Amino acid sequence: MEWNYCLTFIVFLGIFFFSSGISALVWAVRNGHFQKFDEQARAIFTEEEPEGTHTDYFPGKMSVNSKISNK
Amino acid sequence: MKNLPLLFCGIFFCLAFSWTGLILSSQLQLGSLRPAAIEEGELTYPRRPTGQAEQGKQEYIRLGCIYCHSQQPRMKGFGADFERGWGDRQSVPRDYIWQKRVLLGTMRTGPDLMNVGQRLTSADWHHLHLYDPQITSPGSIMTPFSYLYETRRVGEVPSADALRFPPGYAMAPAEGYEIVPTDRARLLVDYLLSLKLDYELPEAKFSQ
Amino acid sequence: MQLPASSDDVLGPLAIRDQLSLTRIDASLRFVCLFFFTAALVWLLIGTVFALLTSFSLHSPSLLPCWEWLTFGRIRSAHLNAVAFGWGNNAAFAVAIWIMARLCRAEIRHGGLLLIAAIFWNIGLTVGIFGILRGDITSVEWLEMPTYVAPLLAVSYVLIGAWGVLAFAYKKSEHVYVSQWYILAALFWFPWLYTIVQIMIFFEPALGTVQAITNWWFGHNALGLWFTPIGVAAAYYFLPKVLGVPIRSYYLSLLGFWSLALFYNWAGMHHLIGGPIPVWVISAGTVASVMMVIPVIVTAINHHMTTVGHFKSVWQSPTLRFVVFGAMSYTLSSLIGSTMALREVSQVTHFTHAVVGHAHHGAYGFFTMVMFGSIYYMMPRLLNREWPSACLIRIHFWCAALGITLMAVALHIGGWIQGVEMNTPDILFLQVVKNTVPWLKARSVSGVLLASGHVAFFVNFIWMLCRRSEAFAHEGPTLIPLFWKKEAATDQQD
Ligand code: HEC
Repeated sequence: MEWNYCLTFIVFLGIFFFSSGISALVWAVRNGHFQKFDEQARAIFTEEEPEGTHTDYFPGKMSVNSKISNK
Repeated sequence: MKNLPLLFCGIFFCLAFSWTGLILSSQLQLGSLRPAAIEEGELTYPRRPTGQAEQGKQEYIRLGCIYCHSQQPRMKGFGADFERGWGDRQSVPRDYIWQKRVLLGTMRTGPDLMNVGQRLTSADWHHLHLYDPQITSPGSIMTPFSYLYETRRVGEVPSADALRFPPGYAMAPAEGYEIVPTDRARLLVDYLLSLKLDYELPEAKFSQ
Repeated sequence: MQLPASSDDVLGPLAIRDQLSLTRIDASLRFVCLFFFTAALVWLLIGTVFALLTSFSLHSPSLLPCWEWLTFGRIRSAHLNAVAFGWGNNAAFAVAIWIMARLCRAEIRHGGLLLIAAIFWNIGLTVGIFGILRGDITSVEWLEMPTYVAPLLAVSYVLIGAWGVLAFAYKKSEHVYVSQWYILAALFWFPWLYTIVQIMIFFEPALGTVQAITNWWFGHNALGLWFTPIGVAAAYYFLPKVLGVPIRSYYLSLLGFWSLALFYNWAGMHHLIGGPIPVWVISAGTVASVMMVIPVIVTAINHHMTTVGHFKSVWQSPTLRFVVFGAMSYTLSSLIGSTMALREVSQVTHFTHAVVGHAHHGAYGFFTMVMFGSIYYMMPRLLNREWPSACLIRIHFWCAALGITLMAVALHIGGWIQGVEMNTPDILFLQVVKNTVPWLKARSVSGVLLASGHVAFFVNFIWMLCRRSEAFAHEGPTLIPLFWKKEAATDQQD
């Protein structure tokens, strides 16, 4: 197989790939997937393990450490 | 990025892209390789391996030699493969077309073996080396493969292929006993001796 | 703690759509995760034994008796498969599915089926490693297990992975978190990769060196598209979780994910630099490896900038000690990896122990450390019980951290020297070999350190499993106080 042929093949594949990527992105933006995007970083916190609380200590050390709060 | 189908498409595309780009296209490029001759009407290379060499290769696979030995000399000027005599030329895709299992290897705890049959031509040497690498290469860290050899009482005439240890070798068998290779060891050495890069290809001439 | 058989009993049908409490989700995964972790730890110990045998026999080849099943190539491969697919996969399955379920706020239903798939995975693995030792080894790197176990492994992987995907498909949370993308992607990628290479190398072998290309496409992606995403996902979850602060930039994490998905795929070809494959394939691999700097830096910013200013908290949390160490190793080893993919550097490091050092740096320094950290976080929540010994955790941490550092340093330096000498034709090959021996011995020392850490971990783990929980109610586990008290109160009422 000619090497040129492969190159063209890959280039077309690349173009196809990138255009579908861009269109997916546009689609996602239009459908509001990026609204309040940064908010999602807080999805890990819940009532039980709320933001601003440490949730892991060496055994037996919790009572001392739980007083240290985050800035 | 919440939508499963969308995520799935992205995830799928990324992998499919690299598979097409790397594997499918090299299959397209290399898949039609056939043995070739330097000049019209001459012998085409690479030759098909013999049955013994093929069986020996199975031993090579089963014994995991690949984890210390590569089979892919690099081109002259890239590393010292050429100077070390691991190949008079670099190996190219066509060299491997008969191989059902390609054993390029990625480790050179020991030397490259693509060309070992041309470099070390004596079966006796290989047997001694496999039995105990310290005999031929003192200080080597290659593990011994002495379980491929059996100790036998010497018959009426000593076996022709009994290992001939150097004088003073500490672990030599007792008087009246000899150590002979098993079939597996013989096949393995057949394979090693068959590893030769002694032919040229249109795309790979010597000293390249 | 007693849990009702089904959520309907307590909450009523309407409440099913509501997000479940983390306690309930943890409980739904208790048996499965405990099984995965126990299996992972057993494999870790088995893998460590093989590692020590391999390492010692490499610098002292006559140390081990000359038995066929102790052949270097076989014990080395038994080590690799035990730690990668035994330890790594079992731990990754538990961590991935647990994080996924928690973030989706959905409990895992029909855990029994998952457990069966998990058991089959481990049966397949046992047969596979036994096969390696008895000589059915394939001598294809990262795919040493005999072909007869491949279908079993593939099917059980898909069954296990399906649970993670289903949890995502039926998620009850409004938001999706970055860890979920990574886990979802990894659960899809691995079985595809595995099936494709099995077919293209063993069942319908591709011609010649296309096999090698396929092999390294898989070999590198097993790390890059399976262990790395799970490790990164866990770091993305535990770092902000334990500290109680959200990650630095959520947008960056999006960039990090897609650039990793795009570039890591292609990077494996740097394992064949100078080899008998088309040059453009190698170039593609090198370019992709260098481009990997983007996701790595992006992830590094997110991970490290979240931690900055909280070092005291990191030190006080067993989980974070390990996870932060892992995140730092990820940055470092990935950058070293990108460098090693350059042609000039590869000319020296290719075929040497430096590559082995790099692999351990990534697989242990990063992935395994993150998994250790995750287990330290998950176990108290799965069992509602405290880790029995802080001292053993510290021993584990120091042995692991010092051990892997020593190994990475020794093998990188030793490998570099080996490479330079190998490229100098005046130095006899046998001399090059002899010069590597001190570095290999240093690696054995590091192996002993790591093994001690593993033993400490294992003792702590088993001790925790066997302990009676009531004894610790007054101390309080590493869980949140408020939550714990509520649980303890319900327990007493029962
Ligand atoms: C632990 C790593 C290791 C393993 C496994 C290993 N070797 Fe070696 N091998 C070496 C080292 C190191 C040398 C160089 C020193 C010497 O000659 O022993 C070497 C040298 C050789 C040589 C001589 C090459 C030359 O050019 O001098 C041959 C042939 C060989 N090995 C064959 C094999 C075979 C066949 C197997 C599998 C049955 C095998 N080796 C397994 C490490 C290994």
